[in-house]
Amino acid sequence: MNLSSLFGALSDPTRRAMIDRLRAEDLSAGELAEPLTISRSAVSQHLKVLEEAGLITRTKSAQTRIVHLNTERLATATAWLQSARDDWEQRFDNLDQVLAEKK
Amino acid sequence: MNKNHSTADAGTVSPIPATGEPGFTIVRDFAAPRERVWDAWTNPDVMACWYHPEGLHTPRDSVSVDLREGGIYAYTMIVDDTGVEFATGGRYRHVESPRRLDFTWGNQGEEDSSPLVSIEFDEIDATTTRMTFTLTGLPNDSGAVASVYDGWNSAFNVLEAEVFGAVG
Repeated sequence: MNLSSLFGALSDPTRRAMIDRLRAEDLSAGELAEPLTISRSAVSQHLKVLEEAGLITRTKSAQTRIVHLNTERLATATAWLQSARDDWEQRFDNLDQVLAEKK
Repeated sequence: MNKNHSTADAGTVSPIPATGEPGFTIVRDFAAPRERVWDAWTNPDVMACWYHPEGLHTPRDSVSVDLREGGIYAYTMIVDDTGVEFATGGRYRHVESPRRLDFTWGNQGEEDSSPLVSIEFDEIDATTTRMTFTLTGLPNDSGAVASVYDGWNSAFNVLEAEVFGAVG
């Protein structure tokens, strides 16, 4: 998986706010844009970034494009984070021993 | 999975408003003077002894360190059982002996798009050093540390919410 694009997509507060709202329900781009004070084209740009990172899927329904959050993609990022944390904890156990041995 | 509550877990996670900027932090006290802990992080001879999770090892001759801001370090972890190799490394962003060390951490060749590690070493007393280790995500530029923090710390808000929302 491309971790860079995934974390890059999550780095922006506007995009995170969009994700927070999409946790509850699918929304149209218009509904997503409603509470935001940014331009329509900025909203489109954010959606594009989220889509390229695999975090959202957009489907056409009549005239509206519905935005759906891919929670499993978030879970992938989370798993990576959790595993990185576990790995470092194990390293620090080693470091404890190394520092004890070399006294 | 969509539950949006988080569980407090000291040293790991902060509750997650979309505006917050936590990262994942591990705090440990080591029974050694600060200079020795610094040495363990920056001296290739010592790094080879501990710079890998359980079940892997790091050959000494795979470790190289260019300890200056902008300098690159590299090491290869090998899985004991299978021989599978992980060529790992990053670029130093801040080198302030023996108090603070920042570097990116990821695959070799991706030094400027890898997660950022920031470590502070505090002298508790002559033989105790407190290490505060923070992993803040992936830098999205190659220079300004401040913007890395701005951007990437916050990414983990979402991730942590997801982890602990799912577990808790």
